[in-house]
Amino acid sequence: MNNNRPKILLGRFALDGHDKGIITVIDACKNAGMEIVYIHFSNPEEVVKSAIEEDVDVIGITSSLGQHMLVSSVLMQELSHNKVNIPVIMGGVIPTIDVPKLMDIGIKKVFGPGSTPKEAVSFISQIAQKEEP
Amino acid sequence: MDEQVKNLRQEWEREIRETYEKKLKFTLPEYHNESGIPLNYVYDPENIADTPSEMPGQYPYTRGIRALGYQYMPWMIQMLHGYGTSEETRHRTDFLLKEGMRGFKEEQPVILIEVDPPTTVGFDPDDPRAFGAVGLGGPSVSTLEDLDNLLKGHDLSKTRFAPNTRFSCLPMLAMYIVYAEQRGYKPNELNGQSQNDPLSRWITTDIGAPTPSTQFKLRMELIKYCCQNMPRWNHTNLCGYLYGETCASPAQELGIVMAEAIETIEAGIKAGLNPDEFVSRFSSQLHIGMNFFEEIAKIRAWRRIWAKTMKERFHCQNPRSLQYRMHVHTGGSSLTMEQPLNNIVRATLHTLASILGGVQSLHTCSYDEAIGLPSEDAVRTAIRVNQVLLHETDIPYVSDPLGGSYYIEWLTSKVEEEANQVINQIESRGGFSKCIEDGWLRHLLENQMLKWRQEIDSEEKVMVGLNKFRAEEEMEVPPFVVKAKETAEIAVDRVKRWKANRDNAKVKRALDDVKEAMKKYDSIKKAGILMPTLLEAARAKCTLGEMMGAIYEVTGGRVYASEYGRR
Repeated sequence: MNNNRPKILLGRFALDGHDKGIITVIDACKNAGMEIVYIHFSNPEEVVKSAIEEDVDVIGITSSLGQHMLVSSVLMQELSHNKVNIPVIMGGVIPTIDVPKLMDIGIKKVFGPGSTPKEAVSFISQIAQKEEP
Repeated sequence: MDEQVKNLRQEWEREIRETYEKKLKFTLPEYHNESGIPLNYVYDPENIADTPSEMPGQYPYTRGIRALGYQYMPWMIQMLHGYGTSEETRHRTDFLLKEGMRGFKEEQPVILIEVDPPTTVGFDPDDPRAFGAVGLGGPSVSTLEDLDNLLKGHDLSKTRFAPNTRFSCLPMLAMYIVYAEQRGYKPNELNGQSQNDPLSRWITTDIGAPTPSTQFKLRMELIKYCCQNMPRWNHTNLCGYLYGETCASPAQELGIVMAEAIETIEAGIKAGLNPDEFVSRFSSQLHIGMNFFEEIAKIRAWRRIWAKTMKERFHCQNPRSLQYRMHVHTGGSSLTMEQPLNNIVRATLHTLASILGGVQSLHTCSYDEAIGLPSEDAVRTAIRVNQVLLHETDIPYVSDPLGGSYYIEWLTSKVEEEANQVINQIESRGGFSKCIEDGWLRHLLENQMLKWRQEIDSEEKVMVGLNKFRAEEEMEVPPFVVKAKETAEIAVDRVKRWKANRDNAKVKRALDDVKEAMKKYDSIKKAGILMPTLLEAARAKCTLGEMMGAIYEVTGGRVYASEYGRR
C-alpha cells in the first residue's frame, strides 16, 4: 500500500527567495497522497545525494532566479555520474525559449509561469507509477 | 438634512428591490474585498457621519503628510535595478537616470540597487555556497571596489543610495561609510537608506539567515548608529511589499508591519533611544495590488494608524515622527507571463492607486517581470507610466482628490479597524518576533498563498490571460538574459585580486574584533558596540562576506524560517 505511494524530492536553490510556487506544489502533492521530501540546496550534488538516500521516484526543482540552465545541466551530469535514472521536472520563472534546451538535456517536463500545481501532480503521478508488489 | 439622506436612501433601496430583484429577477451578488470587508453597493453621507474633518498636512495625516502634495513635490521615481557585474548595473543606472529616474528634484539621483542573492546573505562570489547565483537579480557587492563601480562620479551628498540587501545591511552600511570617507564625505552628509528589515525578508523568502535574535540585534545596532551619526539616512525600510507578494490582504500587510514597527520602537527605547530620535527615519515599501480602492484606503489608513500610534503610544513630540513616508513597489505577483502587454495596464492601475493615495515614491514594475529581469525597453515604459500620469493628466493638481468620497472615507476607517485587529492579534500572541519564531506568521502566509492558488484554479479569482481570456497564440517577449557564467568569473576574479592586495594580518585582527564585539553583544541594551568594529574591518579591506562570516560564526550560523515552529 504505502509502497505505491509516490515519493518526490522537491528542491529549491537555497538562495532563491521565490517559494510561493513550490509551497502550492507541495500542498497539491500531499493532497494527492504523495510523500514529499523538501530540501534547500546550494549545489545540485546535494539533490542527487538526497534523492539516492531517500530513494525517491521523481525529482522536482524550482528555479526563479535565472539559473535553471546551470542547475539543471549540473544536476543531470551528477545523476549520470551516479548512474541513477530518476526523472527530473522543473518549475519556476523559466522563459519558454529555454524549455526545448532543458528537454534536450533530459528534463522530463517544465512547468513555467502559468502552470498549475494540478498539472504538475498529474504529470508526477504518470511518471512515478511504481510496479505492483 | 439627515431626513433627506434617509429618504433618498430608501428610494434607492426600493428601486433595487422593485426593479432589479422583482422585475429583472436579478440575484444580487455579494462582494467582499481582499481584507474580508463586506461591501455595500453604494455609500452615502450616513456612512461617514463619524469621520472627523481633516485637511492634508494635519494630524492624523489621513489626507497626506504635507499641506501641498504633488503640486509642490512630485513623487520620486525610484526604480529598483541591478544585474550582472557592477559595471553592467552602473550602465543600467545611467540609462534609468537618463530616462527619468529621480528623487524629488531632477538633480537628485536615486540609486536603488538590488544585489545578488549571495550578497544579501553575506557570501562573497568565491564562496562555494554562492554557486550559480552570482550576478543574478543584481550585482555582487562585496568590496569597496564594487561600490566604486556603482557610484563613482556621483556627488554622494546629493545622491540617494539604497542598497537592497537583506541580512547583510550592517556590514554593507559600514562599507558604504568607509567608501564615502575615502572620497571625503562624512557620515552625516550621506543620504539614502538601509533595508534593515531582515525578519520580514526571512519569513517571506525562506532564505537561510542569521537566527532571529541575531537579526534583531544587527537591526538595532544599525538604528542606533544612524541615530547618532547619520541624520539624513533612513535606517529601516519597513517592508510590507513581501507580505503583499505572499498574498497577505491589504489590512494584514498593514497590521503585520505596524506590529513589527511597534516592537522595533520598543526595542529602540530599550537600547537607550528616545522615539523622537529615530521614528522619523523609518521609511517604507508598500505593496499595491489589483484592489484599487482598497489599496487607496490602505495607504490613507496606514498614515492614520502610524500617526495615532506614535502620538498616543510612544508620545512622540516631533511632527515628523507622526508623518509616515511611503514608497510603493507595484505588485509583481499581479503580473502574468501570458499576454505580457496587459501588465502595462495592471502596473498603471497600481501606480494610479498609489498616487491617489498620496505616496512619496514609486517603483512601477515592468511588463516583462513575470518572465525575468526587465529589459531596457520594458523598464523605460514603466518610467513612462509615471511621467504620463504626472505630466499629461490633471491628477497632480489637487491633494487627496478622493478625500470626502463616502466610499473611500468609509473604507479607510474599515481597513484601519481590520488592521488594528491584526495588530492586536499579533500583540496578544506575544508580539511580532514571537509570531515569527513560533511559525505562526509563516503559517498564516502559507495559508493565504494556498487560498490564492485555489481561487485561481477555481476561477473564483480572474487573472486575464492566465485562467480566463487566454490567447490562441501567445506573444513572445524576449527574456532579458544575464550571462551568468561570465559574470560569476569576473566577480570571483575581482574578489580574489582584492584579497591578494591587502594586509591579511590586519584583516584577521579586524575580523577577530568583530567576533569579539558580537559575542559581547548579548542584549539590545548593548547596541552600539558592534558597528565600530565593522567600520574598522571595512577600512582594513575586509569583504562583505568576511564580515558577515564573522557574525555567523559566533551566532549559530544560518537558519531557515520554514523550519521554525513546524507543526
